[in-house]
Amino acid sequence: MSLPLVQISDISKSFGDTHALAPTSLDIGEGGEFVSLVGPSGCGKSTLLHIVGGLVAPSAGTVSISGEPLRGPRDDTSIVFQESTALPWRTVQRNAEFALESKGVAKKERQRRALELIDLVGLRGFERHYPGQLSGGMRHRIDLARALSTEPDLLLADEPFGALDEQTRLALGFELLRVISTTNCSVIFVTHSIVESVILSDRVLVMSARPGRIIDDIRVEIPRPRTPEIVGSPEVGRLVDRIWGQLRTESDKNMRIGRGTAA
Amino acid sequence: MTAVADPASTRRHTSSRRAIPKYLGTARKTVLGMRPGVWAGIVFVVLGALIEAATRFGLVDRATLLPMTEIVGRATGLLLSESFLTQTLVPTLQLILISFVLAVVLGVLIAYGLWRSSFFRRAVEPYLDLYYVLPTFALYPILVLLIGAGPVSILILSVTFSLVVVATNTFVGFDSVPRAVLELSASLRLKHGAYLRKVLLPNAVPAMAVGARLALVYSIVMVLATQFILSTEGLGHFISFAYDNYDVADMYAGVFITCLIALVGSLVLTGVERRLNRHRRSA
Repeated sequence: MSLPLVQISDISKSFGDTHALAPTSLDIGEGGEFVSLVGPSGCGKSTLLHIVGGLVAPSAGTVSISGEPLRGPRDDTSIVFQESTALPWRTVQRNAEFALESKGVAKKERQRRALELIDLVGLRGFERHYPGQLSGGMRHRIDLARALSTEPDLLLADEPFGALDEQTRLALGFELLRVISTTNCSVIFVTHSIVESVILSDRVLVMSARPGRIIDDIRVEIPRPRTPEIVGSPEVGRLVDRIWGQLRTESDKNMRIGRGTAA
Repeated sequence: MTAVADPASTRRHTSSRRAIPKYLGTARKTVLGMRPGVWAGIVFVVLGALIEAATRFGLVDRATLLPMTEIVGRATGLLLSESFLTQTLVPTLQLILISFVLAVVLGVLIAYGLWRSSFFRRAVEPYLDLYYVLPTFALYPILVLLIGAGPVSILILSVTFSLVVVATNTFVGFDSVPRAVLELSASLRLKHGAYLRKVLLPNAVPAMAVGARLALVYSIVMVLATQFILSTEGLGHFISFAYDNYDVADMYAGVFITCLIALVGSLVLTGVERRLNRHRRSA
């Protein structure tokens, strides 16, 4: 196997007295590996993603991407967030161009690439619409178009469909898989939906309650391309059960901590 | 449930009135087939007609109020007189415009300072909070002593009074960039200047528009009031002079022209705001 794309060695993070992330080490593969992080709320999965995105510095430990130590945001990493970041004063087209524009790509070229991506994420015909005229799911498609326009090798997704309803979320998940399969981009996907993590990923990392550490690393051996029919399959059911079993113990711990502090 | 029919409750149940609260309903677009703009015109005409009637039938004496037609006629006469335009109206409009522009520019710059430095913000915040409680107007005698009673004094007073509302509103706009958009900008490694142009300023436009609208009103009020009290020229002085000399026609004509200035200024700002905020109009 080739060198992993992301090498996380012993990183931890504290915010003041809050120990958000216990020392964590992790390798994430190159060439389109899709890794999900699931865990109870507040377990540090978003923190881990922010560290890999270069937006937060770890309290200890190092992150290397493509063999280079990470010091801040990098050009070949794109991020999509839970809340859509489509800028309301820009049209769909201009939003899709935003990343290329900030990287200084010439106008003609960025218009062409933005259009390709708009087409790929299924927003053709809406180029001149403003985000305020679109549904939540469509706004997330704008984010995806913008994120992929720079041809990143790593896509970080922080609960990107978390604010959407279940059926839109699953539909967009499969859409994401379809779009990603046309690229060579690896994905780290933070989610609180166990089903979503299983049906989308090659690997699911289960995190413990705070301070977060990785308690299970599950390979999902369901062949690609994956279609919506797999949602009810026994393999998905078995893995969801396994993850749910682990998370139940962790959320119980979380609740006990909650009650302990409240008392 | 009892089988005994309670007349009140029966009435309630059989009533065809909907139980959905009215405030949930959609706003009506027309009343008696007319849009709000038409109604605004009707209100103006009715008020004008009431004034007309009250004065024509002697309910109010002519030293207090004049018929609307006479006010409008006198105002039209003034607007057609070259000496009124060049000596009174244009200098006043210039002062209002300069005051408004300076207030917006300086207000946005102060807001930027507040946004850049939390230290500056914490130091200045108590003054901003108290600003409109203090009678800025009371500074005028001091300014007259220092600079004299000319247009510069009027401008200083008017700008200082108008810029704070721009600064506080713009700051709210600057401060309202969503966390995720900040992080997106950082992940795209936007330079400071690019962040300013592409995210911070466009994001603040709606809040800035609120500030600018108030700054226009404050500029008009401040310029006219200062001219009214202590000036030898300008529309404010014109009104005050007419008032002191029992020239009721000129006084009301001046007030009428002031209303026109405010109306036109407000309409222009609304137009600009609509253009800048066109993305807010949904499909």
